[in-house]
Amino acid sequence: MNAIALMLIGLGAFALGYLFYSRFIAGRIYRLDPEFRTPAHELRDDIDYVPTNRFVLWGHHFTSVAGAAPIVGPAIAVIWGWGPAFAWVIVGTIFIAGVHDLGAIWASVRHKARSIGTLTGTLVSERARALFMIVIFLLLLMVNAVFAVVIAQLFTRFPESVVPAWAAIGVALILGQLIHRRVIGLAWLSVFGVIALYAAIWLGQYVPVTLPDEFIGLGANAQWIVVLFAYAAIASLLPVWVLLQPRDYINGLQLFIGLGLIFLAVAVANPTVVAPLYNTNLPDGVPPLIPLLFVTIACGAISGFHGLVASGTTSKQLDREPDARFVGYFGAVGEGCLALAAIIACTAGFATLGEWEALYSSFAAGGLDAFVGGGATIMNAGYGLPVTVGTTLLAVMAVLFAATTMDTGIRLQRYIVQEWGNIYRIDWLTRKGPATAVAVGCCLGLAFGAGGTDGTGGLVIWPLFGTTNQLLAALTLLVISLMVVRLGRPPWFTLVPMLGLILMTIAALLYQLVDFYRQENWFLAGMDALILVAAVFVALETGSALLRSRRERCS
Amino acid sequence: MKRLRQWWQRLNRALETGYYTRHRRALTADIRQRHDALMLVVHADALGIDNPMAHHMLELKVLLADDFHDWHRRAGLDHSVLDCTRCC
Repeated sequence: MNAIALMLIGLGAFALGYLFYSRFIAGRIYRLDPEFRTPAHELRDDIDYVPTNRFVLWGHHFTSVAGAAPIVGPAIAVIWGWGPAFAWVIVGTIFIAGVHDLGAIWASVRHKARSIGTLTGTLVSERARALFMIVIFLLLLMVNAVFAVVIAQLFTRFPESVVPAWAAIGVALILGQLIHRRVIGLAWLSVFGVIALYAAIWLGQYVPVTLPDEFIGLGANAQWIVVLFAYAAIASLLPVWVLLQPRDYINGLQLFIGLGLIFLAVAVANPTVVAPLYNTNLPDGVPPLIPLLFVTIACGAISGFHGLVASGTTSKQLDREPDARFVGYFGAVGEGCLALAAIIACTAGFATLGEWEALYSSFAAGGLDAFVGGGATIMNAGYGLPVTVGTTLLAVMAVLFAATTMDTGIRLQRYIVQEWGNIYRIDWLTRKGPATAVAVGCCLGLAFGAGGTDGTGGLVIWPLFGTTNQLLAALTLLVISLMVVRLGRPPWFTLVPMLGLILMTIAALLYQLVDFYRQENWFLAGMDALILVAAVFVALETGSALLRSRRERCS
Repeated sequence: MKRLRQWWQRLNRALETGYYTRHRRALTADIRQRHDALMLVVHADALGIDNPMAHHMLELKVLLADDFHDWHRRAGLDHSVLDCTRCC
């Protein structure tokens, strides 16, 4: 199998999905109405509610949802062979993620742009809403821990990426000041920013940075994790415009450039996919494909996090209701493309099957290393980019995505902790500093507790992160399905994916629970049990809500 | 050349819209907070807070009169309790 064929089949399937399936869903199931007055017009306040051009809104939606997760998931999942990962990304994006993202925007737009969390309370039950909040908190907790581990691993494996990754913060800080002070237009600033970033990437190869093997009892990985959380804590306390906003912007540019570079290299070099279609020579300890594949690749196939963005900010800015198809469905397609690029890099960027198998020696051993190494090899073959520069470029791209997610994640968690302080009248918890310390402390505990310090163990929690993400997606699909049922339209297009997700999530959690129990990893077993309880409640809520709505329709 | 410049301007505007779209709420909240602090300083004397700069704030009161209504509404008062500025 050559990589161009894989790329064309993937992109072709996405194109067909967008042209036909999304048209069917938008026209027949959601029935998007061009005459409908969207909340952006009805409640316009020029703060949250602003009618926005659909291309700009798509850019906002896509860059908000795409990050390191659609790279890490497929990079781990190709251990079962490229076939299952490829099929799940394609089928997931076309039949689940697109329908979910588009549906979340539609559901929110039809309810004055309320968030899916609020809609869960209104349409399902108050219990389900509380459940939703718990799942979100767990998701944030895990996303921060996982990404700290991911970045630490990249820094230790690719020391050339350290200087450019921190230099990117400098570039963002300068960019933020220049934009804030309106020194020159953003187009020129973008050009200069990208040049500065890529110059730093080029320089990185000459100044690799490694931390000492041991410092006050902590290994290099653990030291990076501490440094990263210290950074995230400080960054999350800064005003948005100082760092987060310009960083997000640079990441957006990086996303398009990175995707373009990988697909261009594949088109020119046409490497052969050396990984097997279905891996029969699995290393010891790799969990079964079913159900673990479906939680290992969450973002890139279906991710509940998208529903939060779709119903949080996107729905408030939708100019016309039919725009939701382009913004939501095509946003999911964009993320699918990123996952597709990751699959190709991780399976075609190797000279021989032996080399590939040596890297994928255990579950979660390949991961981002394979993406960075494989992608750099393809870029080298495509247009002669030196491998060291290629690895630095891709490592920095992944680090920047993950670090910005951490920054945002800690910020959101701080809001939740401050909210708790308000609810329970704990005065000190309502303050910025202590609330951030509590948020960082929880995440740090999880990162260390999950074995992130020894370099490989940290990604054990990746599938757990996937299960929480899928649970959130199932809850969103439940809300959409209930709306569809109440409108008397066929609910199967949202109901079947939702039931599949709940089933796979519960199966994956049970499998992992037994696994953690056998390993006597009580910390992760406890986490797993907690998510399992949430999953069972989601299933029960789903059953009761569907029965209730059926009864209502019959009576 | 003129067309190229127009295209560049359009690109600039589109990028700026994209730049602000994502964080508009946080940015507005930040601006508002600073503006509220300014309003408090300007109207401090009317609230019974000693302000040695009160005399110099008189000019600002006129300039900020239009924002007064929004400010007291945001502070949770449907009607202004201050009689210094004419409002609702």
